[in-house]
Amino acid sequence: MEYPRHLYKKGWEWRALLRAKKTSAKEITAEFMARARNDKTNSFLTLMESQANGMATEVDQDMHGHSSLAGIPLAIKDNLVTLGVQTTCASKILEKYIPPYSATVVEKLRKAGMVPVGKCNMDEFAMGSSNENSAYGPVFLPQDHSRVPGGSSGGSAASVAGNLAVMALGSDTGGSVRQPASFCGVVGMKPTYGRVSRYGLVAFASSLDQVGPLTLDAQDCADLLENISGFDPWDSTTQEREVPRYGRAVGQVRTDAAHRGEFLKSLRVGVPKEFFADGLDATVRAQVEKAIDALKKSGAKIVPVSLPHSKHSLAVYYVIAVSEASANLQRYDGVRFGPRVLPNGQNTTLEEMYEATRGELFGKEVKRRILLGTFALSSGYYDAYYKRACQVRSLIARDFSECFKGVDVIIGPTTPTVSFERGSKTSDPLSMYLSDIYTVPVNLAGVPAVSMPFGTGEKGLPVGVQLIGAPWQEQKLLETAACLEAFYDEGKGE
Amino acid sequence: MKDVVNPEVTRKIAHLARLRLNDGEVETYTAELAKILDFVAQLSEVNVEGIEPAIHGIPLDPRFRDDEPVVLTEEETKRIVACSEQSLYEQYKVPQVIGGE
Repeated sequence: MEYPRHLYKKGWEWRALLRAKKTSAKEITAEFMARARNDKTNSFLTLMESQANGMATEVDQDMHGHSSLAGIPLAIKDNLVTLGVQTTCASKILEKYIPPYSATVVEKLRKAGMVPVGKCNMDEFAMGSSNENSAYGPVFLPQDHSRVPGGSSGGSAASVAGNLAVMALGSDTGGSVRQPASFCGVVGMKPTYGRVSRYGLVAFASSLDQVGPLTLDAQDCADLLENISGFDPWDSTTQEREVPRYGRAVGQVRTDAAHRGEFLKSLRVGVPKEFFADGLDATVRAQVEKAIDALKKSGAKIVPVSLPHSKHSLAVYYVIAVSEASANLQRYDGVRFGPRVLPNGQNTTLEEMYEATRGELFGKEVKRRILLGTFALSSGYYDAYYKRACQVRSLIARDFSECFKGVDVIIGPTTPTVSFERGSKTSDPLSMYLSDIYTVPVNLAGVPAVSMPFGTGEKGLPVGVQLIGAPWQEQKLLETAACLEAFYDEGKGE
Repeated sequence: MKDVVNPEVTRKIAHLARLRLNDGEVETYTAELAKILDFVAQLSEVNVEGIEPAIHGIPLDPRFRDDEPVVLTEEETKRIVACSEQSLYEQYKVPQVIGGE
């Protein structure tokens, strides 16, 4: 199958053309903005035409000379605040909100000379797995408009898969970067918790949220990750650790077959039996097994492992994430940002304004989660729900650290199925939640993971393989992903 | 751990969360919350004796800034207050809080 990475130029290919003066940032920007304006997938909520043109001029005047990302078009999820540019989180409650500052990751990429195409559609406040919870309409899977692109970073993934941007930023709380990457046939990574600054990322569940790249291939993912990682004085959870040269490391694996061979010979790959249980679609399973087989034949050591508590991950997640969300979303009350609802006009009391604004302007899923979180944290239930969920979270995290004593990466599916049809899961919240069953444990454990396309499943739709690493081992994941891309292109994945 | 969620409980938590719900919503959410809590009840089967609750998945070393006041420029203050639908003298305006009936 032709993946987006086979169809479109990657960031590193654009970079080569720019450096050879075979194109200009202005030309690239004009081409991408024209496609974004005519987008039929509803991937964007706001286009950043003037900022994009301004940046293209800067890049062509060589003002961002050293940057590997200068002149590359970038799409930004609409829960990352952008100075002077509307940021809605795909919610009515933040309609017309113009932030007075930019998120650290947005600012870093501006300094790197990336061209901002626009702000991406998403599930409201990043709550959803299909992008059907946006207050501004769903995003369509670029390959088949009757299907979903996944969520919550659906617009980010679809914009890369549809060649409306070369790279995108998403956020991943329970799979919101990896699951849409898997559905759309692109690469998506959730870095280690604390690797990338959350300053300016609108908070959903603060102990789980992490900003992550969505790109066409592992090389671009490495380049983007390298540019957004690192300690930030404005986010106390970012860690003061050196950021490896991910781009260079992946470049070596990508271009040097001998190096690839050496890397694979020392690689130990864990296969958790819990990720291959009931509920996994047979066509998805077949592709993941092909990936495992290709790694094995190339010298990697395959080790069966177990994550016995991972089966409770969704239950833990739907207590912890909603509890944190119910607290984080208290700030939306109509006072400091967004529109107000005054049911009795001038005679409306403050209390009535709070209740009406929140009741009317939050969407169905957001209200469901606020209610659930408020319940879990309420007097008399805290120990039974929140505290117990945090204890089981300890056990889940412990399972991962046990595994990583014996393996370098864990491999499995990203999602139990390929992209599903729009409307097929909207009436049953639990069935929707199940599409995150393999991604949620990673957020609870705080470890990094990447989803990369590897062949197709049912109806010829993309299948994502998930690689999970020990804390701070993003490089190993990206190197392994680059090996799998090489295998696929050599015909080992079909 | 299985709790009975009924419309009265849903109304109570909706009030705690300051969410106005109509009767139809109360009915729908009551049913959905019951179903989700039923699913979550599996956690009571896990032996958590002596297990510390995890706030994060991995050990973190938080770095705190010094708590120093920042004086905003007039321009910055204006830009922040401008995010509100109603403001007066660079302050947020809200319905009357004190002195009502």
